Amino acid sequence: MRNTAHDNSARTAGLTRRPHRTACAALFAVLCLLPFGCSRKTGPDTLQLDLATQPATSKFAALWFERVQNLPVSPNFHYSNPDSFEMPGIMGSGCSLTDLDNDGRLDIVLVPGDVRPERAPEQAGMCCVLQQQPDGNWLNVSEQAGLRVRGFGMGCFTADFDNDGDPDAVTTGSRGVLLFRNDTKAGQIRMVDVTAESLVSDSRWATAAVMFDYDRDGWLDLFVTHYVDYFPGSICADGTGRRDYCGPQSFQGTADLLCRNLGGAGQPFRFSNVTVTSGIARAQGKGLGAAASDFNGDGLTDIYVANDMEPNFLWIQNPAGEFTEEAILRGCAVDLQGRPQASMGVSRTDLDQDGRLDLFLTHLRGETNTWYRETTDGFFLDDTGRSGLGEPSRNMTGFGTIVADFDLNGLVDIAVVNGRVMRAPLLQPEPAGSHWQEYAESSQLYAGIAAGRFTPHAADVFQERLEVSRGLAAGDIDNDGDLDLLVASTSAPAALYKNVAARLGHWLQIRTVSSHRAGAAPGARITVASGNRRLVAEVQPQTGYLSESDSRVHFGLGQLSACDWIEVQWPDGAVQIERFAGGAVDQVLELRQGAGQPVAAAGAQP
Amino acid sequence: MTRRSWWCSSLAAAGILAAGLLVWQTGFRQPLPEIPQFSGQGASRTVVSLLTDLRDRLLRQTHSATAWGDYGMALMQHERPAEALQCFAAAARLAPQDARWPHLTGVILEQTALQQAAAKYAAAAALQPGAAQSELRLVSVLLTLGQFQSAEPRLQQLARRFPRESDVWLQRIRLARLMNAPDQALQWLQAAREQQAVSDLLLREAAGVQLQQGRSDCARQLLEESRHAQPHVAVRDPWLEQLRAFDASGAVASAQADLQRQQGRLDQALRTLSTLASRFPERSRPALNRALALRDQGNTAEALAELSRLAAGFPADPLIHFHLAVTAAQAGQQAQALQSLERCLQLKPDYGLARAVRADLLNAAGQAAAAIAEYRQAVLETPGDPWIRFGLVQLLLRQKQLPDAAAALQPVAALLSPGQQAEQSELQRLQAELKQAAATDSAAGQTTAQ
Repeated sequence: MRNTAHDNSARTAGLTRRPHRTACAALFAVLCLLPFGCSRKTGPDTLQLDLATQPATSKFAALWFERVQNLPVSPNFHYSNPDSFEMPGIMGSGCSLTDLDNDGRLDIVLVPGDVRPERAPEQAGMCCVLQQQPDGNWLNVSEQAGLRVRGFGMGCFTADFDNDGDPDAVTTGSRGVLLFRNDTKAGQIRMVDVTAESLVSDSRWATAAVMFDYDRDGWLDLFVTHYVDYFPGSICADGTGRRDYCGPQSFQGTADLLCRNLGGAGQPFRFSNVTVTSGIARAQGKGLGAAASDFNGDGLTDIYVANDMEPNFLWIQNPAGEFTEEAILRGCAVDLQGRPQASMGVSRTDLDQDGRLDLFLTHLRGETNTWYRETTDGFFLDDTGRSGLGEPSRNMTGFGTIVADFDLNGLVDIAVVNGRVMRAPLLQPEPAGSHWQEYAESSQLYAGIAAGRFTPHAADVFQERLEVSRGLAAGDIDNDGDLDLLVASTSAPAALYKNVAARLGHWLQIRTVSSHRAGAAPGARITVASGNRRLVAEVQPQTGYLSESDSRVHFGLGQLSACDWIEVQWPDGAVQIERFAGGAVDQVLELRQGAGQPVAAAGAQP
Repeated sequence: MTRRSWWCSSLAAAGILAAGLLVWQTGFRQPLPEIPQFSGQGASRTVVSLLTDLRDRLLRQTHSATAWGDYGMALMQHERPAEALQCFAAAARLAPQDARWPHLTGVILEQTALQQAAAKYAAAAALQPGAAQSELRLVSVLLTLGQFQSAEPRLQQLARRFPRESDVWLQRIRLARLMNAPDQALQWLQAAREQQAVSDLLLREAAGVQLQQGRSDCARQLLEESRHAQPHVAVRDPWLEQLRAFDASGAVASAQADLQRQQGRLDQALRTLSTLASRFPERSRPALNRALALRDQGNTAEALAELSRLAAGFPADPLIHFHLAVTAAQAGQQAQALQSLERCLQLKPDYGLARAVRADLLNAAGQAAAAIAEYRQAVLETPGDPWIRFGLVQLLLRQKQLPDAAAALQPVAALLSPGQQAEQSELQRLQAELKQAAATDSAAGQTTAQ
């Protein structure tokens, strides 16, 4: 054992007797340590590259969706030629959830892309139609149904054009529009091509379509957005000269198409092209999405068009049936900085549940998805920054989108499907293993955490796939009260996702029945009242990107266990708002035009 | 301690200090990044050649900020941003006072990481306070991030330093809109007027602020004023402009040639386009534009030869066939023109302008009925183009189909906006001609009746 007393006294003695040596030793030690202590410079010249934003994820780690396997459609159904680099091939196709046979069960329509070289000529352009069976399985009835597209398929949209109670169809493609009359009998889905007799002649690149009664004569009219004035065979390249898809800036815009349904003149399925006389032809855009709604509260339906890399349009209708473009004035044309954005998918929805319908648009990588919050009737403010929806989307190129309450907690959530339109050398500097891997991205879910506030949802099956996704449709496929999702991707199998989220509250679904057509009333605005809460939504089945969702309007009610009353502002025929009695929730309610109590004329203050 | 031992200790300490500094200088200071490679897969050989040369130069001058910066700018110009970031980081370390490097880094990061981009712009602005471009980009990012309180003082300073820049006042008005302060927006507009910095975009932004508050009269006045105001000119960014000097993809030269052609400097345009066409034979556009420049110059024969060659080399390009048709028609080769238009319309059936040209050719060949049908189809394909309608109306007038001409002309008024002077003049001219023709017709009819 050491003699500590001796050591201590020796150390003390050393300090007392040899101050210079100790000081030199200390100096020596400091000098030796100096290079290590000061070696790391920090400051503006030190780059910390954090290319992938790491957003906080929601505390709701529960799974929301699980994938349904074995849809009876070939995994190669959707094809886009990877060698051609033709622009339609990267814009992709949408999908549709619609009840074609009126049996109360949603059916599926998938839109094809290019014609596969090995496909038989008679199958060229044929849509895939899956009829839902009573046991929940699916039957492929594509050939019998006969739905087709012209050129590279864009979307399929349904509405009752002839007011006979079943949904007819419009398909859009890179070479124009086709119209089909629904001739389903005894459960056999059959759609008959009536394009020629309809007098709708359109061979331009048609993208989105919305059907609504713009002149309130009880017959649904047709609005089709047109994309660019595309020149096939155009060759574009990225900055290094490597072949890549052309972007919209390489081409001019085109005018959209508005056709008035002449059904009121005893001629169902006859349309008159009113594009020029209505004023719509006055502006050329590069339309990819559209929403028809009464934006300024005057009882007349207006039209919002999402234009790719151009200012969006908001066509405000006057009583003479003419439209004036006012998006810039109303704050929904460009982003906060005055820059036009890519604008692919568009959803007209109440994002912050303040009773006003906003706009939510999906955009390109390098931009963010945009929430235009309605501040007063028909005026908007880009409020993306505060919503939590901006930064998580900056590295993604968003297309299809659905805003809905997936977990029924009373706050809306958002689903976005993504996929690039050009290579992303900042995010993926090295070439990928295959053509489509260069453009593939994952989908995203955002959970609503407060009114107008969202956070990325935790890892979910819905977000697992890396694909070039485009179309997204929502609907209560299994009629269990929550919303399921259908995704269409380029050169990849379509995917159906069943909602398995733990239910955090109640729900209500509303089916509107127009007095004109014994079917849905597109554009009907529904207000559900429960206590002090007012939940507002519209019948907007054609929503998102080139897709169509369930025409029943779904409300997540959270803890609201009953509904006091429901008001519907009908979009056609006589101008009126009707009130219906409330009652129990967790059910599907059917509200028929004319069966409620009139409240006020639309456009007047109730 | 003796003096000798003290001196020895001191010398030893000094030696150790010097050795430590030397080691720190060479070993412990943060090393420069590895010189980035780029993937040349599928890239143009001119781009690969340029980037290779710059990389080789950098290999010889690894401690030159200029060499790092040039390589980075070339990578950025050719859309290799990840590699460019590495170069700018190195350049910034070697030349920490050069504001270019944080600024260009911020431009790249703005695509993916706004907060980081903001930090870079702030650094650039601090290094070079006279450069408005960094400050303005920073303000723009702060507004996007919702950081209004941070943006406000910066905008105040910018307004003091750059009072004549429209962009500064535009951002001030934008901030006022976001903060729901319409009176403040009017105040900034007035300040911009005093500085003669008003532009069309600025007035529209101010109008939007007023409309949001329900002040529609004020908004309409501002909108009307915006129609006659000078176009908005953004603040120059000379550092981004420098990137153009590194372009090897042909994009900058193509834009230059377009400008030369528009300005009538056809010889220069031809030289530029000939160089581009020979450097990029796999692309059709340089050669097509060259053929069009030859045509503009009056050299129809050579233009025709070039277009014929292009049509054979790019048979699926409708634009080439269209211009071949137009040039052939100018050269009096009607049959060739019609054949090329046929091919063009097979490839692009919705090409309204091509149908209008075909209509004119058919009419010249005495096939008026076919020409009218073709014009009607052209109008359907391109409803927003008043000139195609004018063509149809003129043809109908010549064929004395007056009611049809009137019907075709009637919707044009709904198409035009007040600013379209040439179209408005043509509309009035045709309306007058139609009126005259109707009067003549009526008089002739009365004379016959008598």
